[in-house]
Amino acid sequence: MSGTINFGIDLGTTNSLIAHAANGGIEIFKNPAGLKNTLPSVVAFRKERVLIGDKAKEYVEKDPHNVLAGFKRKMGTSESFFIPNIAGFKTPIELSALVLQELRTFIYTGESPASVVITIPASFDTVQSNATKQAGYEAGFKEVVLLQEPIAASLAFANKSADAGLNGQWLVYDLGGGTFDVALVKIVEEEMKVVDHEGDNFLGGLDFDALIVTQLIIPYLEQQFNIPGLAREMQSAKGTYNKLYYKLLYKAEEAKIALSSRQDTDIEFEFTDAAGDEHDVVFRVERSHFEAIIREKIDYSIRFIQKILERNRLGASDIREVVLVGGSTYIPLVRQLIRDELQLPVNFSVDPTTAVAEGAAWYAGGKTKRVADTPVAAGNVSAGTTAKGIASPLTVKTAYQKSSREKEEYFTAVVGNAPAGTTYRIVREDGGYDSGIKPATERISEMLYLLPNTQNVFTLKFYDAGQQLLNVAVPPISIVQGKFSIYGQPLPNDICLEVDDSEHRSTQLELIFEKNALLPIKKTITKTLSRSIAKGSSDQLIINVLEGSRYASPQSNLPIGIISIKGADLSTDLIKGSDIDLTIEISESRDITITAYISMLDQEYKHAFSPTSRTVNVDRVRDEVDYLLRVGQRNLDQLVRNENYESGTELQAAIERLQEMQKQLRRLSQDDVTDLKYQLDDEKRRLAEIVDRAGKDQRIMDLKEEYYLTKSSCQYFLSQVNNPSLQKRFDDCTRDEHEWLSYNSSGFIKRKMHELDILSWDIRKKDIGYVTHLYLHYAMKPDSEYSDIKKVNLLKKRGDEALERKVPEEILSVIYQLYELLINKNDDEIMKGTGISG
Amino acid sequence: MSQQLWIKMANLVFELEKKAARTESGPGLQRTIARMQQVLEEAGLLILNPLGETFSETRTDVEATLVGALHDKLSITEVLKPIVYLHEEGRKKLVQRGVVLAG
Repeated sequence: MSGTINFGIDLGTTNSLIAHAANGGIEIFKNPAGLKNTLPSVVAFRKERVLIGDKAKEYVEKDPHNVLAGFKRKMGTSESFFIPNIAGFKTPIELSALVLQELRTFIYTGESPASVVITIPASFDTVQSNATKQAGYEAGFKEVVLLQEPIAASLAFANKSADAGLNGQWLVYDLGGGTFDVALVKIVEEEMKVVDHEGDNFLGGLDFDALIVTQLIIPYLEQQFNIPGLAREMQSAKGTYNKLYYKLLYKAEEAKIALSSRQDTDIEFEFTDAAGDEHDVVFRVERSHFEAIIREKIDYSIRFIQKILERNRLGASDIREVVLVGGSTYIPLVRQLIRDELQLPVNFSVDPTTAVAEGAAWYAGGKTKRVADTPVAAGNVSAGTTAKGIASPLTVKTAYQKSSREKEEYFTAVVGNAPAGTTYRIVREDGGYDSGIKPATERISEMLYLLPNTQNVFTLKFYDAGQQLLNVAVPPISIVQGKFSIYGQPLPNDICLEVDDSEHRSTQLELIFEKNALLPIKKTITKTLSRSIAKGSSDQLIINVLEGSRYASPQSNLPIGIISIKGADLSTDLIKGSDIDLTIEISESRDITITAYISMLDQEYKHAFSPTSRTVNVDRVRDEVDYLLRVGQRNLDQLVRNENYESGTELQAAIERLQEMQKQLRRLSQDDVTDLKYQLDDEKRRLAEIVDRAGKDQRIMDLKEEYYLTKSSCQYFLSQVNNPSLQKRFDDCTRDEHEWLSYNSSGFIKRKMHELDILSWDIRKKDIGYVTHLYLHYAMKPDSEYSDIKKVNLLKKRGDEALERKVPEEILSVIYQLYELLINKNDDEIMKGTGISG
Repeated sequence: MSQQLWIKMANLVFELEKKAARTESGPGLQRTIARMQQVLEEAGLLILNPLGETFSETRTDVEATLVGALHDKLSITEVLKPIVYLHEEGRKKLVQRGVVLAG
């Protein structure tokens, strides 16, 4: 266990952060809800629940009596805030403690630090500093070490710069969202000290956003759309355009950020005027305009620096540099004015929004702690014990509906023997819901907001009066929204699309809807054409939707909807590679609608299929029977070779029947009105199962053996390169291997082998030894195997030269071209396919 | 493509969809937007437009600006950025909170 504190907190007036020193670096912990580094230092008392951070901030303007911000300014005073919703008072210490406790929840590593470094402004006196310490203790820390913010920031910069350690004296200029501070820091007797400081608690980036709206956008709108008194109507809570004001503040902030890296940016928005007319506005803001309106504020901040310099009788040459802290220092004008007006070099090598927290963590990383951390027992700890190990009788019985079609679901629990001051909190695992902190009464209840069509997992946690986590074993609350409900029927089988498998020259199934998916269901996918279809030709594009197992062959699945687009019906040629949008929709009563849109034709084909009117495409069945015959014959030869006469007899009979069907199908017209095509299609599926089954056991065994060999050689190649990204591909490919191997699906195993082959190839194609060997293999083939000897000789010449240069990519390019010139590449059973790429 | 770029793309497609809805664009544009959304879905993003939904203080999937007087039944009246979840390793994770106005 490390003997240093390691955890540092920037307890800011506007925002707070928590950082951790580990492994020679600093990690800023992110807010699990919202993923930001920062937590607004705002606390809201909303009836029975306490919200801290972003959610609290939303209510700060509308409910100022119950929502508190900026309380850091009151630290160390006797002032308390009366909160109507709890009919009681809260001190700045208590409010700060809540913010600190919330920051503890950001620690995802499972640690529960007892010691922490907390930063304070340079202006804090002893009373204010002690008040901050007290807040730390109330938040559950046993040891609190304070560090002045400018020193923390300086440490962050010092640890970043190559010439470690700052010398002489320097300024820390901290311009945040709502506050401004500047401090003179220097090394006195080998210790970093804040010598002087100045500041304004009401200057920051929010002012700049408001200036963009009031100085630039509103005058433009007033002039352009002739709206008198627009400013008043926007800024008044009851004004006609109040909503537009808030929207523009958000857009202005985005524009301000963009202008830090660009010369101009567009603010796009729409609004409806009082007459009901809609307007789309694109307002261009140039950096020069933005700088002109904020110049006065920046000049004002610079005057504080001048004051410090004058007071300390310092000139520009006495200052080593100005360290920039706070998000608003990203603004180029800030950097430029400090440089130009004061002739001072600026240092912005550290992220100004996290510099203080980072510095606090650096400091904590070198500070020995005096108390031991509180262990947080994970897993199956006996219910109702505190982290301190003191027995607690707290019991919880939960009740809720495990599946729901509603957007919210009621949850309740009976809590037994909760000590006074116990609170609870429910959080959704994906970050989209947080109940806030609520008192744990005998019966607790909550409306849980659900994410649609998914399994929502919530955790319920209990805290003691000191906000320490209680180890109460409550199983996760799991509610499935939109599925497995009595309102919807699950699909009994997979629904797949038949697509071409160009690698194996056949077709395969691509899953559209998984078995047990809830009806009604709809999905749109975009596929590309695997071959061109000429206008007027007899060729056709087939969209075949089948029901069955995704692991079986397409021929043994039940076709439930098919659309064929024939060359004869086309207005122009369909080109290979063009896109086709397919929308497949199945209603609760199993009506299937397939819509195909071919973008190059701008034409839509739509067909509804109902379970009672089956559609059979005769040409398609003909192709499938031909294919089954070829595969069946090959399987039969194999069975005979293995002397497996029992299975061979069944297959022989199936082949004979397929030959008869082939003749029948040749005679059958596409628009035949009898039942024959349905009978033949049914029979084809039965025969497909026999063909599929025949010799399958042996084939599967051979395939599995081949798969393990492929896998093991891929593993070997991986072990030679140590590449995490390639390793991840391997892990992804072989995940759940045991499960899918047990399906005995030859198609699926082949696909996995193919993935591994590609991975092995991606590894080996960078290996000069292997590429050379491969080249020699093709270069030494007899001339008779190539179609264009002249070209082959030229390529060999280029290849030999490339070998000398030892560049794998160059040699590979020659290999590819040689391969293309081979007369016999690889031939297998070829099925014409659907025309849709897999 | 990095996750941040996918999210940026999701925001642009969302804006495009809003604009297309306002300007009564033809089916071609709508179809292209649907395809873009499909691509985003294939990249593992779940994009939600919470317009008209109930706003509550427990919804951490949105970042709201409250407009007008505060009352008990707030709803989302405008969506500046959609809610984005990322589906990864069988689990969903909020990667962008929706930016909304509620009133």
